[in-house]
Amino acid sequence: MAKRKPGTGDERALSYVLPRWEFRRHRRRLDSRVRAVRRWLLAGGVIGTVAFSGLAGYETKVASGADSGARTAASASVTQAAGSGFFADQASPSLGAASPTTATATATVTPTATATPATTPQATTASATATATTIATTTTVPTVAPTSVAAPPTAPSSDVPPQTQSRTHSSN
Amino acid sequence: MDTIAQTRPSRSAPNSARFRALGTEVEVLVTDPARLHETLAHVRERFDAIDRTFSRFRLDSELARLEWQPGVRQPASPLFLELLELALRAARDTDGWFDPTVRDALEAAGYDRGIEQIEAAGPGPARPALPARQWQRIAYDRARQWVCVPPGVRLDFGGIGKGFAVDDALRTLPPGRSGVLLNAGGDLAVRGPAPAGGWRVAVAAEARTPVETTVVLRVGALATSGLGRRRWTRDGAALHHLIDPRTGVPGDSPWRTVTVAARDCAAAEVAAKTAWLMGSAGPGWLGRLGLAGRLVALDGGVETVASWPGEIVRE
Repeated sequence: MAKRKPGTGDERALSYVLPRWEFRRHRRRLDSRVRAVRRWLLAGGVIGTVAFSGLAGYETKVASGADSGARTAASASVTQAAGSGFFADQASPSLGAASPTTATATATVTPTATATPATTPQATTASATATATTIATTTTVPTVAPTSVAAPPTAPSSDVPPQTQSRTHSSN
Repeated sequence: MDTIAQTRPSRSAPNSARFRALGTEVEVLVTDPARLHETLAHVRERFDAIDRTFSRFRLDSELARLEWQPGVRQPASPLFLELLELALRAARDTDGWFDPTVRDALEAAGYDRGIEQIEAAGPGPARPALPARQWQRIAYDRARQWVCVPPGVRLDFGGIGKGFAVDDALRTLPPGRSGVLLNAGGDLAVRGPAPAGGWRVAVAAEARTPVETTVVLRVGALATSGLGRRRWTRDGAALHHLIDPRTGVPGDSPWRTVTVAARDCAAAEVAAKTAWLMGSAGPGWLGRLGLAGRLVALDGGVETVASWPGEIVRE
């Protein structure tokens, strides 16, 4: 029978050809390898479990907004400078009153006079003048109220004065 | 915010154009007619981006995508995070009177579809709403571009979205010598040199009601809040879109409309809505902030605040 190298065939058959002490030594070596692999598996499992739990905890904290990296609105008041308040530097820009003179000059609509007459005779006269001017010169003012004079829809572009009036109102 | 229903502008004058976006009519005025086309294209592109990001009526909006997975950290666009942060700062600085988490209360009140559909088919059915005042639970990180909206929290950027869209479009406008006035459904702002005599802005309660007064604006923004068109009835009860975050139902106010001037349109819009909800405390609050305002009571009385120009008092 040809001599076989250890570890290359049936261990039981090997026991017949190897001396007993050689077989035990080989067996111990094999056992140590198995134990090493088992330790690696156990350690990896433990490490994996710890890592997974840690990540899960982090995600939970992030989801609840408790993570230090997350900026919640509540913490924003702490982290943001006072100058970055929502209304900081929002103090109203200078608003001008639209005088009747200006209204006449720019040929814009002031139907207030028609809908709600002013109380003072002078103002009434002035507004009425503005309205009369509007009727005479306005060609296209999309913001006019239904009571105002309708604009000719097909005015030549060159004759249309620049529109400088818009309108603010609650959402439409 | 609605989808853009019309994409073709209708020119009403050489220096102005209009189109529909965000559920309202948008008006662009320029001092240099040669810049109108370029300006209009830019504004439409920015408003389209806002609509795709924040619309609560579009299933493909970023807001809708974020709603699919509540409680999970999700990637968000810089645009979304910019407005979210702005809205949360507004909530903080108004002590919660402005609240971007009234979405469910708004829909429970019936405003669960576009106002045109409500007018045609009526509001949605009555149902209990999730509580508002949840804005402090929202977590986000602009640097890492993520947001986490907790379960039970639903976002709505009404009350700030149009103003933000106006500010965003004007801020990102290519530099030029033309002055621009941009008006989104009554929330407007100007940029660049004003025309001779300034931009004249008529103030009215609604889009088709008579003008009540006119002011001249050279810089900054104006916004008006009130019931306007967005109101409806259900089972005989009058409802509207201005939700009181404290109660979660449409608010009650002595004011018919509130108009506020500010540097930015978003700030003017938030301030106008907040002052309306605050009721009798609204004028004092505006005054402490230095914001000029005009408040019209339900009985027609007018109260002006801060530097709002004097106007002829009517009887």
